[in-house]
Amino acid sequence: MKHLASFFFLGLFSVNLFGVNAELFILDEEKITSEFFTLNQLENILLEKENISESELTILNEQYNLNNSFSSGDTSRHKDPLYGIPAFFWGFVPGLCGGFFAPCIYGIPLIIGSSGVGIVANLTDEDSSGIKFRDMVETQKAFLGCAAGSSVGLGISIGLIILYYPSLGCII
Amino acid sequence: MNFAKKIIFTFLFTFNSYYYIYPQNFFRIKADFSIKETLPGEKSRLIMGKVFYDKNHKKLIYDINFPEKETIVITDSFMIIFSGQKREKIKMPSSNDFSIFHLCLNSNLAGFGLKNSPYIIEKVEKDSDMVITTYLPPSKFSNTFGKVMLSQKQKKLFGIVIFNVNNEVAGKQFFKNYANYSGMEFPGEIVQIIYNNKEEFYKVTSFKNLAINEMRDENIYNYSVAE
Repeated sequence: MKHLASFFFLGLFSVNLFGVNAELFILDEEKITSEFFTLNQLENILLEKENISESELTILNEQYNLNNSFSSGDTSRHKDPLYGIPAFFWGFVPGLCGGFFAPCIYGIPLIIGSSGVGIVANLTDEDSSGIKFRDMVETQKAFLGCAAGSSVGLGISIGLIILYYPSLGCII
Repeated sequence: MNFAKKIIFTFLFTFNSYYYIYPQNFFRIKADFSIKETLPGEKSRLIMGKVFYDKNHKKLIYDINFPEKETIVITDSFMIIFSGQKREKIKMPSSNDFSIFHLCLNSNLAGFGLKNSPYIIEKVEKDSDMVITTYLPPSKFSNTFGKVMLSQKQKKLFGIVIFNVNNEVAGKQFFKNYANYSGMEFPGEIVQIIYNNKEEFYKVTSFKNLAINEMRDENIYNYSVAE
């Protein structure tokens, strides 16, 4: 009798355990339906309308309070260039200055230009591995800008020297 | 006459047995999809388009037509986004083997692919019509990943509950509205619940107009990602 009672209570306890885990798999369908009521309406509109213009899309985005970015919460894909300046110019302008003002010291243009590359590399670096990979792309653009700027600056500087100091041009 | 009956019976038996001995090989899926989700700040998102997947090419292609026309290709290592003339490449861990498409094509959706993974079965329970299996991560990852509970109804995947290392529920997925496509079961809707900072966010992915093993649009299934 004692064993039977123990078995009975053990069984009850086990059933409770099963119940708790099963509760994890309860889905509130009504809540889901109410959450997506307006989006369901929009989906039906879009399914009925095959070709939709950009202006209509803009109106729908505003009307239905949509976030237009694709990646989940991560808007870095549509992120603006660093302080509004494309990465290429972050390297180009310092490289241009360095190349122009120090034509005879060949290391200086790259040192000055690389400051722009360094700014892009450090300030666009964030903590997601996906973003870091993209920052390498931005850094590469800045480096190319630096190389291009240095070449252009150096070329302009040498050109001006040859123009105004032809004798010095022979030395260069 | 008896001989003719024997021939007919043998033919019918062989014809029917064929589908048991050599189950159909599913290798390609195309479907219309929509993703609806709620976001922080009372925003929401709707994405619609077509999805293509071939398990031999292992490229998952989303041909999106709303909110803007773009194509997203997910390979083993990258997500490449084609938008107009722009192309963007984002490095990401391999995930196609655990996509619903790959699992369905390999008839592994019921177990969510966990059976052949490093995850270990801790226990199996039954509650009325639901079988609940609890999986634990391998010991070396026990400080990074929590357990996973998987429920099945009528041998089809019904729900997944993912826990964090603190044994708190991090997310849930529910698989609903199954339909049979020439022997392959595919859910018509997946409801995902994400728990973040004590808030719940929902994501509903719907699939319609499925096509299995179609031989058209070969270029889309093997979308060129060469630079």
